[in-house]
Amino acid sequence: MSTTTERRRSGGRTGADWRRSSSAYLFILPCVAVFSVFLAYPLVRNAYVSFFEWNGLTEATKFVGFDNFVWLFTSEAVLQTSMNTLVFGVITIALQMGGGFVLAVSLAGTGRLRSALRTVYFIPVVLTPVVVGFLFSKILEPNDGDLRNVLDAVGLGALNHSWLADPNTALVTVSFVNVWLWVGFSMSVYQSALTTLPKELVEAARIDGTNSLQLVRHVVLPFLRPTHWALLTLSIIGTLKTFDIVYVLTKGGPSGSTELPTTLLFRAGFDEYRQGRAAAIGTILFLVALVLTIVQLRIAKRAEAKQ
Amino acid sequence: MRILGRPALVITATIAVVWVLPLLSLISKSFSGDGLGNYAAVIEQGNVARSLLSSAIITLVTVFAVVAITSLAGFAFSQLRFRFRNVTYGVLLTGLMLPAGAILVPFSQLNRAFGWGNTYAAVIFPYIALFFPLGLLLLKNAFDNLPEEIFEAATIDGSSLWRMFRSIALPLAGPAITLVALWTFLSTWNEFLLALLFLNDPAVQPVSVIPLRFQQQYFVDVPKIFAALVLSQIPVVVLYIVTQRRFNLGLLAGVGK
Repeated sequence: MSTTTERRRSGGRTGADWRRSSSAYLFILPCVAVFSVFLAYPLVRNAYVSFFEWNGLTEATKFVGFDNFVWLFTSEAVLQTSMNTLVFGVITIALQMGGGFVLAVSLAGTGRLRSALRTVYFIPVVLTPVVVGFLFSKILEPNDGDLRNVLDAVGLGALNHSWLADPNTALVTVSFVNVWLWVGFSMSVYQSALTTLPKELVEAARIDGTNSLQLVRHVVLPFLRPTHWALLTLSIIGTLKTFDIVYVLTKGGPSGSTELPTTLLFRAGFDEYRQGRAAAIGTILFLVALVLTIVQLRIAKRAEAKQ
Repeated sequence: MRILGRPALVITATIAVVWVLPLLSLISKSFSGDGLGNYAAVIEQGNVARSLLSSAIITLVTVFAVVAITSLAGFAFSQLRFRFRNVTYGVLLTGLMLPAGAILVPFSQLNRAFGWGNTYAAVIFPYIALFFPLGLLLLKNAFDNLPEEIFEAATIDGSSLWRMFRSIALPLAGPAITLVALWTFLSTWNEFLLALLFLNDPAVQPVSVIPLRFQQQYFVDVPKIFAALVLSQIPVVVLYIVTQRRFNLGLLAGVGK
């Protein structure tokens, strides 16, 4: 950075002049450069590739116009993936946010047990998702997994099931593992927000004779509204980005029952060597995430304005 | 401040079993069979130390770069006035919505063009690009929340722009910078897909690809795989326990703004 010249040039200025210094461009330059080369260029390149048929290995490409997008909007696999994403998203977001909220409210305050429990629920968030996936693939293993052994031990052996191999249960199972992994994140965000809850608000409600559940419903829940919106935004983006845990648990199977956008993209690009399709999935996925986020921020802003 | 009483605490403590048991299972599996011998075997033959070192290098460089570039840009977007400011900021934030998977192929082409095959740079630059938008958002919000007066006093002093940033704004953004550093650390340490695709040489592979690598190497010797997994998780768990108090995720609530 040209700090020395900057110092000389702006030294002795008064007023708000420093805010208008053209050095501002130097401050944003590194971010803009990284963004341009490693995000914008790949995105544009991806959009370009999506109009071609290309195996990704050789130089040979064939222009196919909108074929990849036609496939995208008509194929059974994409329809199934979209439905899976909806189910996966609704289960994980609802349980993650709902569970995180309940945990944060239940464990709010000081005390050794409370803080130990917060740590336990948060630990999975810092673990590597691939490791968690691998762990759960062993835990859920139908022949000698821990879950089976626990069920057997408590006399519920009849409930044993090939959770991940059965197309009817695989998606729900993967969703639950994802909730196990992330619920501590929502809990922690809620918990931080709760530390700013004014004591007077709670005390006033208690004096009015409201019980604990009413307090949560009528005071705490509305107080955390901005946090709900922030978590919803992060969770929707997170859902659309989910890859590692699904890849390790099921690779999108059995028979596509846990296919999510990123695993479908990976399959198209690196198992079937259809880079054009993969690029089309990537392009649309980005646009969907962008539109959802913008719409959501608009709604949130309007809701806040009404308050 | 406590909101709910004992019953809620008892219930959450009971449910915590569902979180504790898998974690215990992770550890106990790593000792089954040969006990500590599993650890000795993977450390000796499995190149785990080398992978830990690779992860450390990749992660620390990424964290440093992300903190450096986002604190500069966050300050500028928050406090300075220049043309195209809001548009540029909005465009940079679209990076938040980009799944790594969506741009794998262009990444690999860039790596080939730069001659970065099987080097740390092959993942470090994509990581910086993928993880800086969240850092930028958090730091801009943090700088937005600084009181106006601290800058006014410095203006009268005739402080330079660089000093405004370095000596006044930056120290006050401490908690946000810590969170950005910690979160970038975790994201980088735990990243799997790019590491798997761009680093094929075990000499440069980070720990996140250990499960897959070991599945091939040890095939059915599951306890040894788990020993390696536990080793790969020690750094992040220790980091979390040491920095727990500074893990102020509440700052993330600013994404709604």
